Amino acid sequence: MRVYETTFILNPQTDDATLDKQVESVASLITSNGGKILAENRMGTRRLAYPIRKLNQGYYTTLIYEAPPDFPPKLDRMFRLEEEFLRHLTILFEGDLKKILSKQEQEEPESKPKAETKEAPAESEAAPEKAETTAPEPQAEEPVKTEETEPPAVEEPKTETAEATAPKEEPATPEIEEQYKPVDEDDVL
Amino acid sequence: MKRRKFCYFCENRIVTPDYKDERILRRFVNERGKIIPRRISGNCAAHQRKLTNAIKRARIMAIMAFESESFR
Ligand SMILES: [Zn+2]
Repeated sequence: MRVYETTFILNPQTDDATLDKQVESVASLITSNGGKILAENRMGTRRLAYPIRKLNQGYYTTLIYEAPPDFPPKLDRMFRLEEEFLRHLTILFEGDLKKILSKQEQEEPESKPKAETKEAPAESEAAPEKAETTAPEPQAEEPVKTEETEPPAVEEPKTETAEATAPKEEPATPEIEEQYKPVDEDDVL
Repeated sequence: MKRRKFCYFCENRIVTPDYKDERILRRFVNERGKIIPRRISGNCAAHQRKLTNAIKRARIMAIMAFESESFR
């Protein structure tokens, strides 16, 4: 058994129930082939960097799971047969497995992460311990900016919660791109 | 462009850049979407290799654009 990470993009022009069913079909293929799901992360609908099949947005989901080494080719075949998958990529999981597992334990009590990701990820998930909840206007730009100005925090164990609530699950908007530019240039180059 | 002395990923103790983390990857491409060479970014060889791989994966998954004049 090895740990894999598969991300796939679904056509978002469908209802939530259908998306759920499609994600579920991938998950059940994993379990029916002797695999075990370790984490499911729905980034939700985000802007595609270039159009795929004339679509400008895609619904992103990442599954982290254990599976036998002959499984990825089977999964690949399924993705190619089913047309709702715009793109898919399976890699060996390279992240911190402990982090993933503990994060999932924290998330389990709060029932449905998916609805939150679609509507207002920053606000609802930040609720328990983040100051941002006090902000009167739920402006999408604000949390993004804060994050961007303190990138060193990303891998610090202390800020694990901050990472979990990171607004990367937000649907990307054109404005966000503009904002990064100044920060990028002074900060890094 | 100013040179950076240190590898961003070593400094931030990031072992492997995540191809899904566009916020970090986009720091290492120019306005056309080309990968910035490590002599300018300051990344160490090992991390630059991993970064290049992550950016290429991100392009496949439409998280980042391929090189083009109309990027951004
Ligand atoms: Zn390095």
